[in-house]
Amino acid sequence: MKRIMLILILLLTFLCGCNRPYYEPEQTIIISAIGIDPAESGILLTLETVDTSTPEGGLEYSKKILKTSQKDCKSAFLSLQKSLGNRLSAEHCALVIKGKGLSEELLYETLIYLRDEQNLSQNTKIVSNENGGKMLQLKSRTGQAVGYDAVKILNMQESKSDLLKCNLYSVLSALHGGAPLTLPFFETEDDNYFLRGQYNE
Amino acid sequence: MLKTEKLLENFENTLLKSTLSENLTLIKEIFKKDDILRIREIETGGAHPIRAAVFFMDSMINTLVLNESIIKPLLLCKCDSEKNITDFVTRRVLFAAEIKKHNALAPLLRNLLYGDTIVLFDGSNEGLSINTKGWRTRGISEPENERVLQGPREGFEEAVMLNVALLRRRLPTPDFCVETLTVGRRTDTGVFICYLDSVVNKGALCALKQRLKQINIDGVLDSNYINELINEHPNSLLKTVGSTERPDVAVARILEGRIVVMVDGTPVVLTLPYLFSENFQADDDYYTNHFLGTLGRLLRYLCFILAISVPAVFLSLITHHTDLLPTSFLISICSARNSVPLSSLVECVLLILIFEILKETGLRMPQGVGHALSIVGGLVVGQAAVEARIVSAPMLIIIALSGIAGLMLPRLRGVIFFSRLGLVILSHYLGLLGFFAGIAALLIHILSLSSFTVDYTSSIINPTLQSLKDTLIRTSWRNMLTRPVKLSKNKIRKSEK
Repeated sequence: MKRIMLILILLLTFLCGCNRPYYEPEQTIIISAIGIDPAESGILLTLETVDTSTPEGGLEYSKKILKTSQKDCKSAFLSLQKSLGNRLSAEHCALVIKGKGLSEELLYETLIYLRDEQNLSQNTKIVSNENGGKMLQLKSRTGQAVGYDAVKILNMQESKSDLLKCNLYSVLSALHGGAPLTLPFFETEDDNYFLRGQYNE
Repeated sequence: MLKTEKLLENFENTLLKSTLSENLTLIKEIFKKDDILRIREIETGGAHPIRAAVFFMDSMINTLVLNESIIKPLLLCKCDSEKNITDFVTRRVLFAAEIKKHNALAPLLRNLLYGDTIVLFDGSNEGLSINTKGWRTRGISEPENERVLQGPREGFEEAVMLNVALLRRRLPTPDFCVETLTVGRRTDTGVFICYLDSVVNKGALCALKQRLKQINIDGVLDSNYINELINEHPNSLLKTVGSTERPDVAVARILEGRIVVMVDGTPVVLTLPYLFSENFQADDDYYTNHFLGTLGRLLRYLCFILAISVPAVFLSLITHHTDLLPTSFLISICSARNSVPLSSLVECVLLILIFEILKETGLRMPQGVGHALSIVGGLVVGQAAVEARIVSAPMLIIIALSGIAGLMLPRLRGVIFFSRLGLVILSHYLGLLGFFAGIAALLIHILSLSSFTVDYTSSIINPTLQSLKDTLIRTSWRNMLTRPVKLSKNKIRKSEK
């Protein structure tokens, strides 16, 4: 009886788990921030990724920018993954930047895709900027990725003032409910970025 | 078994003859290829001397006892008119503490081969077996594998009678029973079963005696032979029969209702029934403050969990569940694994194997070379391999942590190694799902074991307050009022006032 139980457990485990692919850590590209801007063909997706090929590791690392323009987010991700060969991991993405002119419907679709297919965390912050892609190309003051640095700024402000919650969950609820979307706005000036306030576009 | 084989059981029905010359011829024929047997032919004193022969094995007897207590009295005695010479010599002549009379050949030869001296007389079909054992022993010393900081430092040794004496000294009560039997067709090894009659688990005792009687083997050289032959789970890596080299530990287990099995020729004695929680007990727990004992015990439980699960959990997190890791930690791991040519599974298994090789080599190498080994192990495996990017530093740290945790539990060495390896493979391919399936399989196996009619985990499942006092923790002796529940029906440790 015990051997049958053992075999059943192992068999069930293999049946349930065998379709789950695994990736070595170095085959994973960690996305720290995503910029979504409107484009003629649909959207311009800019990904700020952590470059782990540098030997320092830890908080000292460089970043790489990946860009693609497709009709929607899903096509953009697929085309990037195909060209790079590695897995894109949005699980550690801290920030999504909505560019000026991006419609709320497109934003909603994109965020749903990122949440359901790319495991974007519910705590990811959504902010707005004139041009999300250009902001991601700037250098952060701390040497970290812009995404992580900007989230630190937001967290500090949240503790000091009544900054509206701008995490993925709150933004999706607002978009789904039809409420007016108010997001924190980052302004870029002279290769720097700083939090201006909250705006409803 | 061939009848031509010179085994003692072939001579069970052979009786001694009345004439000394016939007996001499028979014994010389049996031992014609054995140059260790010595035969001293003598005549007793008096007007009508009687011929006698003294048989002994060189270097197995105490020569002083032989000369002064046997040969000299025989040469000087006058037994002209004695009708029963063996009776007369036993009662009036020999200076020996233990003399046995036999008329069959097999018991005489058995005693001769064990260090006794045999005396045969012309005209008598009885022989005398006199205890003159005098072989050299190692001497009582502290067991190397069971050292304590505080507590007794005596250890068992190879001579089983001395071991029984060590137990008897600690249990001077008629309730302490010692039953003997022999196993091994050629070695005729003495096996001693020791227990307290009013406390022992009778079911376990019956099961043990039954299994010992069923042993059919050529020779038994160590207690592990008996262990494997009586074990009801021979294919399990978990021990269901305990062992120790310390008399104080053996007595403590006897007092809890367990049985101690001693085998002649080995200092390691077996204790049974053996429970899972005993793997986490150390002798030091009972000789130091109970808070320190508790701390040590909790650490051992923690180390067991760390030893088997840390590499597997780490592997599953970095390959399947990167979202559960903090971002900076993940970035560090990815950076460290850059340009490492091996996959994480191969790297993990390789490091586990190298650690085991270093551990085994450390056990077997002479002490003088041990220092060189630690330098080679540390520098080559640790530093050079990481710098050369053959392995990554995080994986090395994880394996080292799990390896060191495993060293805390020498009794679970085999279980830890195979469980660790199995869980690593399951975790790599199936993530945390595979890890928990492996843990479930291990738990099912542990829970299915029993040791001589007692459940292997009886002190942990269905716990009572009293039973927990000496499993997860070690409470003060004031609070340990009863024996472990399933081991003895006689539960009370303390006497009634």
